[in-house]
Amino acid sequence: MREDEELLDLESVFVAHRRLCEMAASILGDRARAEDVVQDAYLKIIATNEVVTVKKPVAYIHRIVRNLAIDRYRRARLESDVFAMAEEGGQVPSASGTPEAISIYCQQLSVVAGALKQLPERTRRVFELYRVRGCTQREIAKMLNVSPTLVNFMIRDALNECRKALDSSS
Amino acid sequence: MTEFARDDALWNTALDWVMREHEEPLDDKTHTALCCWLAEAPEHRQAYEQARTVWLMTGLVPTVDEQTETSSGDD
Repeated sequence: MREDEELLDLESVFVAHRRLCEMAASILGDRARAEDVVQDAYLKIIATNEVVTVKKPVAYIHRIVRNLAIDRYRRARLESDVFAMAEEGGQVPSASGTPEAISIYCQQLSVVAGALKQLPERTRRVFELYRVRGCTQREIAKMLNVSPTLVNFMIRDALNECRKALDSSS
Repeated sequence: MTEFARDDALWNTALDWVMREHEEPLDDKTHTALCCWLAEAPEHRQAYEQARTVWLMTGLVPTVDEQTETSSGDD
């Protein structure tokens, strides 16, 4: 590879990194916490690759950063109002970069991935449309020509199965 | 109510909250209602934490078309 090509690639890495930070900052409203989330996402993506092979890493890492940022934003908003939550939660999210935390993450991810894989195909599809694609329950019902009640049931079913799997693995 | 049924009811309420948050940002009034529910009992906070964790984890698993099948079939 020629040197300028290498430089170009490196530049696109930095641009991608900056975009991720900007996206996280737009959710969190805070640049420093956004950088934190992006770092966390990098560690998680590396760990994820041990469990499943990620085919579209760019789309995937965007989603990871987004989901982590949303989770952190909500938690921060609640913690400032229900201050006791942080002390008794059991899970200590602040130490997310430690080898121990990463190994717990890997284990949980593989359990949840396994539980989702065991779902009936239609349930999994409904769940992905809701969870990842951001479709409303009503939209999914129309798309698949089923009742909204059934869609709601399938989404809960998917989450219940993941909970059960996590419970019995810990 | 048995302990199991109570646990199930709390989990379902926690799921309602998590799904509601996903569907649209909570306005101040709804956010306050969630805070009140959480402040009511440690069990409420535990159920919510669990629902939040499950919800987050499901968002971190690569989707069907994002992953490469490494092995065929389940072992």
